[in-house]
Amino acid sequence: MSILLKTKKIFKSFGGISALRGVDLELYSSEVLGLLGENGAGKSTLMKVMSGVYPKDEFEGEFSFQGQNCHFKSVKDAEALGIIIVHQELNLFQELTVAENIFISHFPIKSGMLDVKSIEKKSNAILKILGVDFDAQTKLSDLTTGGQQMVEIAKAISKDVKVLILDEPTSSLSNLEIQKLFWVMRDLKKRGVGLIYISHKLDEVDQICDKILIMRDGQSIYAGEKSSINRQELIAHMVGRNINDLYPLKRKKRNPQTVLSVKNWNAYKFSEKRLRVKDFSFSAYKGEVLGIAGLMGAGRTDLLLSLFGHHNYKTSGDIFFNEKKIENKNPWQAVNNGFALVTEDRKKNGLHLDFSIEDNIALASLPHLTVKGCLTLSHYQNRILNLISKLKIKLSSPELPVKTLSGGNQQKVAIAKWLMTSPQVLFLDEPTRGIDVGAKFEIYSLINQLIDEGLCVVIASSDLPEVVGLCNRVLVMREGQLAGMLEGAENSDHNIMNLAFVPTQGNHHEKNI
Amino acid sequence: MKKTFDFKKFSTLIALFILFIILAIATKGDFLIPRNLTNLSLQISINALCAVGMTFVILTGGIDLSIGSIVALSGIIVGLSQVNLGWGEWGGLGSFMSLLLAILVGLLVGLINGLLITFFKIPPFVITLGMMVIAGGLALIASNSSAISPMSDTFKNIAKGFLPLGPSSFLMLAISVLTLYFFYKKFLQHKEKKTTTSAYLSETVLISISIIIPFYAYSSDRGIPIAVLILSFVVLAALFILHKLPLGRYIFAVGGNEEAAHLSGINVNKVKILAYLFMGLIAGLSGALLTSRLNSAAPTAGALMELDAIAAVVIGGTSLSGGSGSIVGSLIGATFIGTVNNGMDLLGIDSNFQMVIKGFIIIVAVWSDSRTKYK
Repeated sequence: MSILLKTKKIFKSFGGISALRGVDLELYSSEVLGLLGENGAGKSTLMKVMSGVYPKDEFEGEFSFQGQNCHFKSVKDAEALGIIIVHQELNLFQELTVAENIFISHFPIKSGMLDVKSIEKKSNAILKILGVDFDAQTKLSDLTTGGQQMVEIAKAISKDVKVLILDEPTSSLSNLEIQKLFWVMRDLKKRGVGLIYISHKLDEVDQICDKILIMRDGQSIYAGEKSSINRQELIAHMVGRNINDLYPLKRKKRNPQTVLSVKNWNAYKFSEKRLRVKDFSFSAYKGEVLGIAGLMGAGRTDLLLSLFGHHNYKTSGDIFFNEKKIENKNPWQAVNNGFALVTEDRKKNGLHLDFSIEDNIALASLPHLTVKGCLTLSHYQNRILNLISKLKIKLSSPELPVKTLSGGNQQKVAIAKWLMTSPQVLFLDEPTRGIDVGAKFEIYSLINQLIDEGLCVVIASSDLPEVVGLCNRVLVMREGQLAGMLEGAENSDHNIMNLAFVPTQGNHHEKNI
Repeated sequence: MKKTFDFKKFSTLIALFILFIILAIATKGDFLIPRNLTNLSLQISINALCAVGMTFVILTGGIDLSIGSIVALSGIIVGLSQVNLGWGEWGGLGSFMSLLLAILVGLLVGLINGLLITFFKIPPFVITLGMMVIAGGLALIASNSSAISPMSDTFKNIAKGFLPLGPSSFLMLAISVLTLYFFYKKFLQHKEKKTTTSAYLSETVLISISIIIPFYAYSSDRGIPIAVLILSFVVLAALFILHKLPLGRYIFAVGGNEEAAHLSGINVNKVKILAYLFMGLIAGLSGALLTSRLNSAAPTAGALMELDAIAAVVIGGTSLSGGSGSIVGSLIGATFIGTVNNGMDLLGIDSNFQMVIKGFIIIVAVWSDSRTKYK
């Protein structure tokens, strides 16, 4: 057992927000290190530092491989040393064959031409080790997502690997495929490879890992043998933190008047060709914050988007609004029904970054800002300015493009846009992602103010302390289904995590076989 | 914070004036003769019309390659109605009906474009490329591959006629008074120290020049061309839609970020269909105007008009990816291209060379525009 990777006091920040705050990690040959932590704890950032995605001058701290200091300029430098990462999202080419995908970055050339025969032979050898049921000539798009994930792993093995980093590799694998993957991982371990395994699935961590490193808020919290820590301690390490100061006083009083009631909701996502929300039922009350928690990919965003009538989903089920059955076939119908949705990614689908702040705030309510059919924004200037001051948006002029604002202020513009429509149900998807603590606090205070005004607020968030600190009730989602509802004292980090994790192996088997 | 002179906004206009000066010198003043300037505006008007429609489509993030063929097809339909149906003998009513028919043809093709693009989610480039070939073929079939002429005198007058000098002068006087009032309001703003003196003066001078040149030409020649009046009407309607109706904001929003527009409750498909409808309407109208000007409907009449329109829009500063741009910019762009054509004709440059030079000018214009924008 010799040391492969060693990091000391790694710091990394993105424009003022620190993602890593002094992380220490040690990886020896012939071991599997399980890396655990909540979403946003900094796991992926750390892996990107070690695999050369961020060049040496973009982070601080010491980082060595086999005792040599590393100065990676790009991923290629890391791969040359044998440090290879399999990312959570697939980086494959749908129109190429499996063999071409495996060797895309290191094609063997024979007399100036691609040596197709040799890559197919080598690929088939690797695929045989992996025990998959397709061969090297298969076109990638003919494979299932799980099969494609195996190709991604084959790609890593085809290189001369010394350190293999797997970032949530099993999220789209069936149980059988997971067992095959573990078999390959054990084989690599025997050959002296060091593996880092990132996963939310504690059962898998139990099965495959030798050591554990727990991260929280960009710091390494616990490092040691897996056998010396039990599951309860593990979860406590992952979530434990003092959250009392960040959250304004939770509103105790709950008005039992049901505003929104959803029954047997199913949402099929066209692009992924599968159900993302399955048989989901819940109610939301006037004057409360309802939280939706769950792991990455559990279907929180899909639930909100499909309820809002987004065109990526085919839905079934019923929505009752103030006890009347309604339909949200598309977003404009949803808006007319009194719904509002602040999206997860304000840059991608929340705001028009090049447009002015006032145009963005007005965009969702233009039909109501007219006199005799003509736009008369000047008449409504006051409402826009009121919202800007209510939300404490810091700006020099509302005529400037939104992109000139900071992340927190952009988020407030996105919320202002929807408050402009005077909604009755407000969906907030990751309302505080990537914004600083000050702006977070202001948004939390605003949410409480909105509840006092009688709004029904539904928050989907991967930020557990936020869900616990802010919400009256929390729905926990797991694989598109309702795993449970937590209320009052039950609403804790610990309980949410317990519900959010995939159930034990036994259940899993039933589903796959 | 005082507003300073917005060079980006006026850069194309300034380039146009420089081009005017160069041509005036190179042609020893011939270029600036009122008759030539009037002819120039007649030559520009159809491309300018198409550029206005194209601006709508490009603002939504799309493109329409079929307008040349729509122009040809609606022109042929006009020719058939005037000659074969005998509407040419019905005087004013017949001309009006032919004009209406051309617009209907354009609207129909535009509607089909819009429906195919939105419902089958096929890129506009492909749909309108197909429509370019289909409508072009239909024009050849309907005309039996030969030109149709002549049109009635009233129909010819649509594109060739002039508003008599009397009413023309009155109209121009009215516009001048309105402009002066606009300058006065700007002056009040300037006095409130909202703009710098240099910005106020340069904007006033630039706008004045762009009004004085055509007014000087029209008043010393035959009056305002009817084609220019039609163009002005369409431009005013387009400006009204873009800046006074919610639809206008939606057009910008769809092109700026379609996903965000959808999630803001905007009916993206409806907005797109309306843009292609508007484009079709204008292409149909242009077909009628072209037939009127040439006094003949030829099945190949609209060839390459879509490219001139796209060039005008791009020179005018509208982003090809959608979401930002202006009608006025496209007008200036169309004027720029028309001026280059007219100037090279006056200088007696061989028409094959003209194409090469024009191509270079388009590239340089867009390149310099993108340089000022992203610096």
